[in-house]
Amino acid sequence: MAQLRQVQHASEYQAAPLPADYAAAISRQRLRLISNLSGGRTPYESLANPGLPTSMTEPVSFDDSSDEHELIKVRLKPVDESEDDW
Amino acid sequence: MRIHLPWLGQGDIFGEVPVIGAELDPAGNVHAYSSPGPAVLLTHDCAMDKPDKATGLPRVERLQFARLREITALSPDRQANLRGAAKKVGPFEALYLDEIPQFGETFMLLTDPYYLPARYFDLTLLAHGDHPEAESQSAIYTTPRRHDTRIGRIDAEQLDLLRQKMLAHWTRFDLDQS
Repeated sequence: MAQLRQVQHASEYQAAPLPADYAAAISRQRLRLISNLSGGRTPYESLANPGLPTSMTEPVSFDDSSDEHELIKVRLKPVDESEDDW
Repeated sequence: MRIHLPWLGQGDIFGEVPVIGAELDPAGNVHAYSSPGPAVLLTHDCAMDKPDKATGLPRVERLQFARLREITALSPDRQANLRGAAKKVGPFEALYLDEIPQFGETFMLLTDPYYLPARYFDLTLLAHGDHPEAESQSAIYTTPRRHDTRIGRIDAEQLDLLRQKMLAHWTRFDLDQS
């Protein structure tokens, strides 16, 4: 949950300085797509907020939902932060 | 470094593309700049090979890059640390790339990625099913028709490490291989 909260915070941080007309610059269809998918994992590059959409790249593009990937399960562990020193 | 494939792939090394960054002037104001230089393609293969349903062309809009940096730009201590960690996930932000022809001993940082419009490369999808590294006989891949200045691609081990570093740097998670 700590990681999830961090992501949500990051998205809010990105959204805050966007101009008020940013959303208007994105087509309604795309906005709807982001809104519909905001509870899921796809599209991979975008993250939707209740208000403004944000994107890992800039500004938006989507539909990775048609991907058919073989299910690959991986185990993750938190990194050792000391390994990041250099 | 390996020979690059006919199609684009994550880890391709471009000898000269626009390198975009930001710097501070003496007054503390930020200035964006663009200058030609070497860079490594960060965008994942799967993100590049999807067709637009209407046009049949690649639908990717932006390609992400990280500039290639000379290791001599680092302090001697950092150079030594990076060489010593050449096969380790940490440090997460830096990937040691060893000797690259034309550019010497190099590395790249995940803390300075930037993007170029995909249209700069005039991308198309081409069949490469007869290539020995194609996934299948019917494989089609995103291929540049313009500004293709690639000189190679990073080694397979470096590409694996790059992906692990991306995971660690942006999510602070690492693969648990125990």
